[in-house]
Amino acid sequence: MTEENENLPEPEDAEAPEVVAHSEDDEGEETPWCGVHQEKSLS
Amino acid sequence: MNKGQHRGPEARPRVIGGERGWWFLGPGGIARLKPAHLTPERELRPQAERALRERGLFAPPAYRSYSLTVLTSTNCNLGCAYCFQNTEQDVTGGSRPPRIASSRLTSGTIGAILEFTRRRQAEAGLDGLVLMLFGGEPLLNPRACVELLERAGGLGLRWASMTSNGTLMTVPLARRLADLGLRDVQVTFDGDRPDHDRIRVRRTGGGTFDDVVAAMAAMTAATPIRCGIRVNVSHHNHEGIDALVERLGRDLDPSRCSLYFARVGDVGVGYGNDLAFSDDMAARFIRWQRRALDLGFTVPRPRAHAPCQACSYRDGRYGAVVNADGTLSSCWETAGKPEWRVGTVRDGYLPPDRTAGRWISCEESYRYDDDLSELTRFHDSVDAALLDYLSATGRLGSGAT
Repeated sequence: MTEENENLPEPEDAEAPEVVAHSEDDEGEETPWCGVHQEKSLS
Repeated sequence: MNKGQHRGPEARPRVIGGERGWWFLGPGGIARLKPAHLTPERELRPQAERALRERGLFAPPAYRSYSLTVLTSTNCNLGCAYCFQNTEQDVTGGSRPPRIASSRLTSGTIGAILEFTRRRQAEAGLDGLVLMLFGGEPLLNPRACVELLERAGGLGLRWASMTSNGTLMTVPLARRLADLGLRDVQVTFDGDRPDHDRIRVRRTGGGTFDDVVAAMAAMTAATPIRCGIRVNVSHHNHEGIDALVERLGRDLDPSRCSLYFARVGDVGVGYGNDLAFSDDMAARFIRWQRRALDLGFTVPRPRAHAPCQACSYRDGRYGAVVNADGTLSSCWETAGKPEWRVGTVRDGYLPPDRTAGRWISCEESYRYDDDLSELTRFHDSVDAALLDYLSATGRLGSGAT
């Protein structure tokens, strides 16, 4: 998967990206603060 | 030594490479990309970007709720050597490191906090509230936790969380807190039992592993409150993480728990983490995540670089962090530290010229020996592998990761 995309033209009829999840799916679940630092811990 | 990066108000998409393709993580959602969607430099081609914009993947969901974090007590019954609220190491080698100044939330300060919050909600046009009970150990002041939840109901409380060490949670208290809107409690494990009991110790001495597990098992059995488990990974404990995952799978109800593995930096209290961001370590993180999912735990879905409502906006527009004495700080890590004060709930925020040097985000105070590009590469490879696995096992798209 490293070099496959090199030099590929962008075809006009290229298939659109496949959306697999919307953020609103998580409504009420997403934390409104720094999600990756939810504790008073560092080490 | 590098500093962490400021988490600004801009949401930044990520493009990360998985086993069989690329993933786009935008503020509005996740998409699977084909090679033709990217340039050789891994940039989105214009047509792919247009398609993603049209599907709303560049637009973050609008904020509906004000984000309020309140320290109910700055004291803690544990004496972990690495806590960012320590002011220095315990020079005697014991488990009583000096901490930030003692403060305890009172009814009067709760009233001032809620008045402040009501004003800020109105100014931001937000009709909801999301509350985080924080400390110290918030359950050293259970009365304030209950009162704050009770009185926050009048401000459109949508849900509440608590970051706790878990040792003081009882079933009657959990029932009361659940009735008032508490939805999840986050606890931390510092490795499997032997490592945890050596690192996460009571100030009076002794380990806490069995007590935390028992309290969380009882809480999730008796109430709807979920348990969010953070596993701190360091050079002190990484060899035991496989055993920890198995043990937690046996002793807790995985369907009521999420599991998150974190390797984070040192904020300068003299307790660094020598764990390297190597390919081998990434492979371990990937293995732990997959095993956790197989056991029935939830593993948080990777996200775009998203702003934090509390610390990313320099005027505190969408959220606040309030110490038990009513002082304001920009983020959790500076709470309770007078030199980082940015205002009080009674008088509001200080003028911008006085808060400029104090308005930092949580990640900013971390110190990394590692190259930040290595850190990014590590997170990207771990997150891509998680998305690969969620997709391969039919967990992506349903929201039930």
